[in-house]
Amino acid sequence: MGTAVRGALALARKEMLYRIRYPATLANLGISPFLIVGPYLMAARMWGADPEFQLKVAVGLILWYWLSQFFWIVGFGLRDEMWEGVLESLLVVPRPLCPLMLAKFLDSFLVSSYTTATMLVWFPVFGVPVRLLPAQAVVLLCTGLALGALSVLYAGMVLVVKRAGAFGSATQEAIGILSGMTFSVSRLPRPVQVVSALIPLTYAIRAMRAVTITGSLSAARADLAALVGFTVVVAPLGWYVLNAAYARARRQGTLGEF
Amino acid sequence: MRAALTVFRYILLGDLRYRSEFLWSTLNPLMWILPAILMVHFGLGEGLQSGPGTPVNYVAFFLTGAIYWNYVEAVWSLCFYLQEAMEGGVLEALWATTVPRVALFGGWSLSKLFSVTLQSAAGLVLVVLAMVGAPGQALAPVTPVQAAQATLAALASIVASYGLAFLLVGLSLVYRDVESIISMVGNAAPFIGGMAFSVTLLPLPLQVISFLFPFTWGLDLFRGIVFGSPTILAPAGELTVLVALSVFYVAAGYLGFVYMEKTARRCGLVAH
Repeated sequence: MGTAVRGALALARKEMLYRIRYPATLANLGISPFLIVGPYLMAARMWGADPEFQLKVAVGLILWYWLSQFFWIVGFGLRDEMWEGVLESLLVVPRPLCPLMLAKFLDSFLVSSYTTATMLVWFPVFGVPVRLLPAQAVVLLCTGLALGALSVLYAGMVLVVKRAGAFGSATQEAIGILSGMTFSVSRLPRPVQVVSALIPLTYAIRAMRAVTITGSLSAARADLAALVGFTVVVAPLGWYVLNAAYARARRQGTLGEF
Repeated sequence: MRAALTVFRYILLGDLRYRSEFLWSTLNPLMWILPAILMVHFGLGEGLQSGPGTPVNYVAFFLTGAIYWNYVEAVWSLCFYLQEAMEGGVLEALWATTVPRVALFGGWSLSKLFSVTLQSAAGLVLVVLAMVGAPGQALAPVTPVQAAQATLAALASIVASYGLAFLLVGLSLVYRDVESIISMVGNAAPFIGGMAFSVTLLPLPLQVISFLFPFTWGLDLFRGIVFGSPTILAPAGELTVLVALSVFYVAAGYLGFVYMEKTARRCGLVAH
């Protein structure tokens, strides 16, 4: 276990060094997220949304961006290594997936934290209120764990179908919509609410909105418990699917190419 | 021409090889607009008969913007093909062939434009349905002159996209990791180009930047002609600005590309 953690830390450090080596990457991570979510916030303002509604939309969009980062880095990241031709080399160590996926999880968490911090700088410039509280860190931690578990499932799919970028984009958008990133899911039709209840982002957004508005973690207790429960169930399932996909790719000799 | 068609066919075959990837892309415009549409409908309880700063049905207004940006991005994305060729280690081989660069770029981008046309069909049907089905609205009757203006606006926007694409390809050759810059430009353009709302509603400094983009004028003019929505300037004035900006972008982009390509070859940067 110690070796896996050391390996994961080394790989995560390598990714960080890459980003620091190319400052344009860091600048892009600081600017692009707001540009992506900005049109929705501006639309909310232009339709006459009050500050509390704008804050709720901002919270939803930030957490949807967390999902996007986890999907691309943890889920789709394996395809990058495949494309660069280094995946096979990375996977020739004993129990290879553990350090690699742990590193991607750490990387996603750091990148998402960075993009959140930069978005919080941009929001007031465009008149969107911001409210920072220590309790929000707890929600982010639970959110990261749940989204990491979900993204491992997607990584298994990427190993099988190889080119799953458009599917990944559409899935992220669909998850965002069903989770109520720009509105409350309670306004959705009942059958759709049932689907929303299966998505961790729904609980994450609701928990973060509750904590941000009330300033207390107790208002989000049930949603945080749901997030932890989701992680406990989906993490082993995702791990099983990823390992099965890995074994299949090895058997078929398609680990390094597509 | 033969070279361009060969590249066109090669890229298209690659895209169609992964059919699920191709089909999922058809959802892109819809996925862009849904969060905003649902926010307005469920979150704010507003009707969608008109959008902020426009009397046009908001679904049709936003969806047209999303499809328009799909086309603009289709041309820009040729720098991603270049980067893929660079990462795949085949760029030097491509560069060493006798295929003219313009044919290479033409083949790359035309295949993408063709794909986007297929992928936008469902979105276009939705735009028509949104306009025809909305009470008190209809697609504005278009005269032959207006049809010519709309076609010219779309073509000028695509030509301007080539200008930016040339510049970004040149930058990719010299500075290698320009994916971030491309990404920033790609993300900024829909925001300040008025995909989701009229740019006249943006803060003044952003409006100034948006007016430097030919796409702002192209989209505004296109919507003005097709939907009869209010335009920033009179249509003839907008068309003049758009054509002038497109000529400037394509000339500056091509000259920039030629200069940076020479630099890349002189410094031995084509392969790595």
